[in-house]
Amino acid sequence: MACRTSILFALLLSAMSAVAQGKWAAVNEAEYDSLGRVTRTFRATRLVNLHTTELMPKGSLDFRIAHRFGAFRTKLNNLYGLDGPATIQFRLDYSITDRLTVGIGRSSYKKMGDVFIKYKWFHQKQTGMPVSVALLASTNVIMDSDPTANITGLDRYAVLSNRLVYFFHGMVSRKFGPRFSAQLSPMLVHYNLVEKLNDKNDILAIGYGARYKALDWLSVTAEYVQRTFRYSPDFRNYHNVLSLGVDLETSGHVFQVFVTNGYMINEAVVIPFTDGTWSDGNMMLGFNISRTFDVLKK
Amino acid sequence: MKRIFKIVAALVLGGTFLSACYYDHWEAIHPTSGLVDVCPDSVSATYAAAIRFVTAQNCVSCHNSSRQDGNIVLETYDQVKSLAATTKFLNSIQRVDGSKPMPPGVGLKACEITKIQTWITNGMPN
Ligand code: HEC
Repeated sequence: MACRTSILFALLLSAMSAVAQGKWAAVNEAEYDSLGRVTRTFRATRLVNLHTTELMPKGSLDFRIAHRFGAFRTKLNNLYGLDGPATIQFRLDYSITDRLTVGIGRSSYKKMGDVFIKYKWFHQKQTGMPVSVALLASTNVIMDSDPTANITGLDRYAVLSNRLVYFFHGMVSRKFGPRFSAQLSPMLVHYNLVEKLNDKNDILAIGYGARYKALDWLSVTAEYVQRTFRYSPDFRNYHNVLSLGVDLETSGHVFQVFVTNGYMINEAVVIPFTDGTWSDGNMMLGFNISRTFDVLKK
Repeated sequence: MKRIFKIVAALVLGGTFLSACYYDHWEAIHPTSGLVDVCPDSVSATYAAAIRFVTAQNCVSCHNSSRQDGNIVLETYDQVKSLAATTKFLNSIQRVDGSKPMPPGVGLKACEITKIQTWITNGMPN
């Protein structure tokens, strides 16, 4: 497994360096803004669970709802998961500038709150810069109470710092033409407090994302989260996250529908602790919807 | 203006990195953690000595009085006992085909299930 992973990683890296050497054809004329920057590498600021290099124009307030139904393996009796149990995330993102977005969110799993800051470092350009780069850091708070406290008399969440989880996400993307874009992301999750002596506080992962614009209003998307090293004795019981979906565009909105085994939504838990796989039927239907308001518009 | 935002961004990013970043292990802070490994034969198969530790670690995060997943609460002896009297309890923890496997994801250890079975056979003593 480790071997396959490193080959994939090497392939992607060499693809990127080839890109950097300008071996790829320039992207279609119509896909640039007035500054020669590539636009619409992805259709939204999220692909499925992960962020993309897209940011909103200055002064946009984005209200988002992310929803994951129950697993397909619960069969027809449970309407293949549509009856639940579901997980949900509500959030508000605001773009202070074209390059800087901040956001707050709340996810039902572990009752997690989060704040993030996202910065667009580089834009892919018509000439010159071959890729777009964005960085994100978030602080996540587990707001659930300690489930074993009433039995052990020890509350692990008595101190706030034990509830905190940090997430760092680098995004490198490239639009390869009018239809195809891809993204590679190194990611780090840091838990202030873990359970067992052998558990690691830092969890390193790589995210792969891709979008294929099939029609003007429909793109096919794929996202994969690859965990890189054994951060827990339970490593094998947790799984990489695969998501396949579509971005549907309806009058200026993007509606994302997909199938994923990552039901926890928040990156700080979905990356290390996804416990179901596609092969055992633990994938579910999910969607992201968002409504953006232009708060600076007079 | 632009510069100010860059500085703010750098401060917030750097701030989250440096402040309040710990490398703690609960097991190291509380070696016994107050929780018991129920598997050894020396641990008798009673609710007080064994079963409550299994449910506390594996079930109560979802089946507590505020969340009540599946309308089930497993916080007290009576609650666990009345659920354990139904067939779906053992089916779920044994992950029998067609049941709802509990806990979802990583299941109980075989020796924990054995201990629960012994407890049920013995009439679920407190
Ligand atoms: C991650 C949350 C979670 C954990 C942990 C969990 N459960 Fe559940 N449990 C649920 C949910 C949600 C349901 C309702 C499922 C449904 O109705 O589709 C449920 C339902 C059940 C049911 C009813 C199943 C049925 O056939 O109707 C039993 C029995 C049960 N749980 C026992 C347990 C036991 C025992 C444990 C610990 C060993 C446990 N659960 C741990 C979430 C959890």
